[in-house]
Amino acid sequence: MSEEKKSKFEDYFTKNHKKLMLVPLLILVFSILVLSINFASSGEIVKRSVELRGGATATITKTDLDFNQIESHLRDSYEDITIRKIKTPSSNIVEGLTIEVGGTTESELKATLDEININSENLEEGVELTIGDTSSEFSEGFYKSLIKVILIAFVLMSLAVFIAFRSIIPSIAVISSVIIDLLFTLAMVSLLNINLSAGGIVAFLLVIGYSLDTDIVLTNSFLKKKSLSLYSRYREAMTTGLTMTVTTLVALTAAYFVSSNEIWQQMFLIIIFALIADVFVTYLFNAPILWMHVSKKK
Amino acid sequence: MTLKKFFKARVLILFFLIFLSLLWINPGETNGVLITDVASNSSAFEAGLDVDTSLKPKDRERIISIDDQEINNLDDFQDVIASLQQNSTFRIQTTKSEYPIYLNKEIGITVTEPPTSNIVKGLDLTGGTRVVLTPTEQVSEQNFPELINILEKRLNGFGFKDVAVKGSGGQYIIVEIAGASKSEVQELVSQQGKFEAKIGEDTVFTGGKKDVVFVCKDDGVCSGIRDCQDDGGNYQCVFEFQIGLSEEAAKKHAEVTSVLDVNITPFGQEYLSKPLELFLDDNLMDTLQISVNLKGIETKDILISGPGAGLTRDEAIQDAVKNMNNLQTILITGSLPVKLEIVRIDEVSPILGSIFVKEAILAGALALLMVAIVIFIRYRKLKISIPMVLISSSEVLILLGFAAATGYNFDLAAIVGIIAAVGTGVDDLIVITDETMKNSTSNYDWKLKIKRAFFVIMVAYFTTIAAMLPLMWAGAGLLTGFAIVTIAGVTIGVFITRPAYASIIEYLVKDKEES
Repeated sequence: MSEEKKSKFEDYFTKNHKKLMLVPLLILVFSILVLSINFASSGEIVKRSVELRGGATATITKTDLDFNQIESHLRDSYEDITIRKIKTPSSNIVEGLTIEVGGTTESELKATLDEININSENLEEGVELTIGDTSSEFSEGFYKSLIKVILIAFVLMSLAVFIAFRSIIPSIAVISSVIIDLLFTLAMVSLLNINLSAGGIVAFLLVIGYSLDTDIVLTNSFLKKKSLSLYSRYREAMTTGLTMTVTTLVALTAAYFVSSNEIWQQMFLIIIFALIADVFVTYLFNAPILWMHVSKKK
Repeated sequence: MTLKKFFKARVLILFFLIFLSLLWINPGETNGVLITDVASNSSAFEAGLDVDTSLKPKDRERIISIDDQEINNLDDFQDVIASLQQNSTFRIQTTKSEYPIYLNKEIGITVTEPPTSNIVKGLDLTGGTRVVLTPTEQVSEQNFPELINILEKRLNGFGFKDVAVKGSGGQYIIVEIAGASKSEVQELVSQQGKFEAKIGEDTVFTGGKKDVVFVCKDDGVCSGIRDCQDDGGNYQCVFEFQIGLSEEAAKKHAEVTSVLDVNITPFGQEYLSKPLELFLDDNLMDTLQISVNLKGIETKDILISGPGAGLTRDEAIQDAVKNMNNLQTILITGSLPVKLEIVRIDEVSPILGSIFVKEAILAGALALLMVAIVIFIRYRKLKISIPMVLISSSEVLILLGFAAATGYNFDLAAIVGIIAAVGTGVDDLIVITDETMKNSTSNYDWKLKIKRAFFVIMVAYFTTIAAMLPLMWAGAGLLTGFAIVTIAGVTIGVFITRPAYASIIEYLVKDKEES
């Protein structure tokens, strides 16, 4: 960046940082809207995978079986069903199929697959059929315990932030930024019809961590680097923070495109969405609040 | 000067840890094939071969040659085994010793490719069955470990060698059995195994150490398949094995039998009026007539028998052996204090597992490459980019070393844990670099810059720990692995690799500035 350009952005940000907060606030409104519409229509904020609400799953590896036949037969038999090809987003090689059926047991699913002659005895060599199930009571408890983890983690991390900065407004700004990131990511999961799995909830835990990292750098810069101008504090934190976000973003995007594991794909995707939102939230929401807070104190 | 020495020590610690990790992981090809299982009651078992899963993968026994024919891969092994004749003797040379084996029944050795490192792959990556169980009644805190203990012993008794049984929160038990299919496992783990031997209404003895002091197992003399009959296209076999009763149980036997009448069969055999009935989980399993000369006698030696059935003679024998093994194990371990219910069962395909391993390596390498590119574009200096990438790689290496040293089962969740730890690691390295490089003309001293960088790092560190700690105990323990790896990763990073990086950067950047 040339000196002239730099000062242009400096002028612009100094004058308009309050207006710029509109962007992250729109993100927040959009997220809440998406989530409430989804909640109104389906009674749930996001769809849960069978792992988190009970049901049976089956995997068939390396299959050249008639995918359409399997799918139509299963759809006739069950309403609550998801069928997915196991493949990496970057290739067309299908490693297998996963089938998720809510509210059923493995023996039932086994019998249904048996009707179209899919069973361990009939499959050719090198092809495997695995079936498992989760009881609805267990998965319900599992889901609740993970939600509890998210809440506890959130409270603990808020405490850590308060203790570290010992300042109310900056701490609240950091925590609100994390909340916006989480809500936006949740909205994306809901929009893309992703069935949230336990791995996905763990990804939300990581989102809290990644989202905080940039906010901490920013807050630290605003509160501690007293010899610098406000804009320099902002710019320094942004250079560091954006490098952090971009490295994570490219690493996860690359990993996403070469993994066929459903859980990984979901986790990577969730963190990617959160990181994108985090850029706007950190530098257009958290930063203006800090800017106003620090300039008021002066 | 002392400060400089201290910084140097950090770098030395890092190098030492990298060295240790390499030693622990011990990567490299090995020859032969790895023995993963030796069936009990097989020729190989009788020759003294066995599997010790407590050893690190690379220290486990491998077959090098059979009768001087070198075994280099699974095909070699299958070819040689197929060429062996029944009732002949051959020699197996392993990494430990030489075993002469007389082949008079099944050879009973299962092998796999030799390990290339000491990292133990978890169930997600090797394939197998994972079951989550919960007691159907409340179990006291003291009884819970007992429950786990019995279950583990029992599974080992059934011949599963690679078994992991963990309890979680006093409520759930996770059983992971590598290489086992769901149908094999399902029945075994949910069976309470309440064994009762009754005469009429009186219980004479039950399974477990209190009543049964000896069970003959894996011994051709006092246990085995006694009788097989063709029952109109359906074969029926009978197994028999000897057990030894305790004083108390023997007294009980004398007491109960003393009051019984004597019946005489049409063939002139004399038996007591009531038989000894064997119940397993309240199902009648077998009825044994009691010979008249045992009336009122404190007998300690009892012959237990039971059935096995199948469409062919071989199948019937196999079934009988399975049932015998099951019953022997139950008699040894006793019943579970409560009945267990399966609340979740997953079968993991070994084919997909190996695909995921390859993808994880590819994804990791690619992610690191992308990070390196971004770092280089940002800093334009190899002397910063190269140490950064090397430090990040060293974090992965040390984590893998940590896993190898502790024998931790490396699974899909752990791989994500590594990604999480290394991801925050790169973030921290960027913070260190920027804090020390920026304002290099101002009069900030180096110590202050480092201190400032580490303030950010420590806040981020404690928030990560705060997020991971609750996960250790939640989710029925299914995500504990991920939490442990992430916490270990960020801790190693914050206290070892990142301080070392700070010292390296100081050496590479600051000294140049001063000169």
